[in-house]
Amino acid sequence: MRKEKVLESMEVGSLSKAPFISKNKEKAVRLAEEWGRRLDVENWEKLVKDLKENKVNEEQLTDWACIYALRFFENAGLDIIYDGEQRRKEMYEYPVYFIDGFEFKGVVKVWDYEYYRKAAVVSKPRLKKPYHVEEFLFAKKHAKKPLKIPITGAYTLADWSFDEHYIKKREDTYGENPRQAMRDSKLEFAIDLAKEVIRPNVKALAEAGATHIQIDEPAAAAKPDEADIFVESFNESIKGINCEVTVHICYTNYAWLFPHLLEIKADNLSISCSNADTKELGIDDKSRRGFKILQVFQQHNVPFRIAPGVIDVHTEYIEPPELVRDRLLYAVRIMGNDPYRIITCNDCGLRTRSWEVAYQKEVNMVRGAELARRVLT
Amino acid sequence: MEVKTYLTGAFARPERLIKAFRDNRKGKVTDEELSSILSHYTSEVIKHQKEEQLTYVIDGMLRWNDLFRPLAENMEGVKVNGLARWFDNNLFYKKPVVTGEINLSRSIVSEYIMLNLLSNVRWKLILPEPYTMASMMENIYYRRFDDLLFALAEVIGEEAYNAYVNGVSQVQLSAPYLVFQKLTEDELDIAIQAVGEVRKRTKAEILLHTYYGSVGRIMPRLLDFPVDVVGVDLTQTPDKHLTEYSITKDICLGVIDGRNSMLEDVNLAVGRVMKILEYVDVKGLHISPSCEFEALPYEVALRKVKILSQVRDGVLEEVT
Repeated sequence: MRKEKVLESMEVGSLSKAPFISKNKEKAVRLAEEWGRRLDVENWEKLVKDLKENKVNEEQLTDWACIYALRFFENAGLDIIYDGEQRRKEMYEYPVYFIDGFEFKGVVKVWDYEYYRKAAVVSKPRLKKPYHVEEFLFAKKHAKKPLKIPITGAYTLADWSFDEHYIKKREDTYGENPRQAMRDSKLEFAIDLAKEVIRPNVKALAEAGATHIQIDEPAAAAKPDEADIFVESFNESIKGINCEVTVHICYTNYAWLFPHLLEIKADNLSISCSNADTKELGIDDKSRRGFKILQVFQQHNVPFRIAPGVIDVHTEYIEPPELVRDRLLYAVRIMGNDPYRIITCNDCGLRTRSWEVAYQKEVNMVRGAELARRVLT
Repeated sequence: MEVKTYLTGAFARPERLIKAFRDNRKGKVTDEELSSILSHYTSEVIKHQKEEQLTYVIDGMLRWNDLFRPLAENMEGVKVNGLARWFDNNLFYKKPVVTGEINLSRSIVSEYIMLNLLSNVRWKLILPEPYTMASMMENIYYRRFDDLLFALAEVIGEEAYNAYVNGVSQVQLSAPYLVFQKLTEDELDIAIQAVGEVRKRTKAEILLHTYYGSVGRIMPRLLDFPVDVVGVDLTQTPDKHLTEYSITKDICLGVIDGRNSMLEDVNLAVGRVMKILEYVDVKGLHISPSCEFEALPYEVALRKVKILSQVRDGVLEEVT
């Protein structure tokens, strides 16, 4: 377990698109200047000038968005940062485009009118080329703080895809135990993705200089009887990789992951807590009900650090630093009074919030961590 | 021998309709325009079922955002809250929160079912099974779960009655919770009683459709429900779990996978049904998808309807 800094802070992933990405030129110019000054972005005047003169193409605009997002987290005071995933549209469709063996089948519902384009695996997956290296190299060139690169994990890619390949191999015996046939198929699929797609990606990132990778696994605890598949595919994904690794799992029943989670070879686990928490100050169980799940982690004496979300990303409410402090102090207390076992971060990415709200939340998160440090040291 | 076939849940939405719903929320598409697009695709889904000679036809439930929403939005004492996962799927529903005594304020049969497009067919209505819905609501009003369950059963029964007076041929009670969770004998007892409240209110055929889990050990108890047909998810249930019991009701075999895009091999599916029939003396045979087609792409869902009818034809050939 790395012991860098008590309650060090990190972002989780996405930010909404940079505010100057707008069809309204006047608005784009105004916000490029406003945020350029506020975040102390070097040479922001050039972006403003180019926007005014219509001289910025889409690619250049995205580059600027990445630089602004890096400065966003740096200026908010976070210790570990990334580019707010400014180049990415979402976390499933984009990686699938870089993998042979998939066919897109059409859009499927997630809820109400939210849909995503879902693919089926039709043959063993093969990576066409690592898909985050260029993005990382750009961020590395411009970042002033350590980076953590998010990448969608093997289990989630498998879980969010149809299976027209692995299950076919088991068609003849399917009726004997269909659930077992699906489980066996899922395991083979997830392991193939881990070995053939995620590991080469992570390896390429490490070779390019990445020191910290975040594997995003939102699907990890959706199926209680597949926690072992998630853990096994995760471990295959990072086998032989010499990087710090965080796994991010949000909005789920974490208890379902035990005992398999104890086998995971991650350094840190990032989870959501604040969306189920109260806004009351205090470090008692009642006020900190969203963090009670940590008791399960402590009971199992987990061998990794926990990054409990101290910021609810699904609300406009700006958490005061004192609330962040109490959430962290409670987490430290539950995790055996060892502040090195706790990382400060959000529940999830801030994609659904405006930059204004997201920035205030991040600033207060950093201030809250500082208040907690003062209490602890 | 008659082999009945039908769909067992909401149909997939086509992309144009999804866009229309989104644009309607943004004010870019009027209610009238949305209604017209909705009617167009409802007609298409109905036409497709008729062409494939399904026994009962649904209107596609293209307006239903989730299985509970129409009821939840038309009941007094219930508010619709945040998202919750729909069993083990990458699909979410809005959790109904019970804040007061529940009563049906407006019938969803007249509000949500496009009866005008179902006039010349034997139509079916799909409702949540009471125990499933009660378990997946947040109850902050009723002191006991049973009180909520029976109040809800009355509401669902009322809708079953509304459908009956409008000529419905089959009422399906969607009951994934009964097989996804391991219910105790006592819990199953009250689930059976609650369905009895629905049974009282309609003479239409009732299907209790279980999915997302294996009927496993509770198959004999499912046969105790006061319904005409018991539906089984064959993507979850091993054949032997059906062949171990004497089936005293009509059985609906959910042989078409509603959660995977792979198109079923008709011969394999027919073979599986025939293998089950070899060991089980069923009263009446129905064949269906395992669950709703809501999380499939529209085109895939259409093709699966065709496969469903081909499987029925294949089974009919074998048994006659």
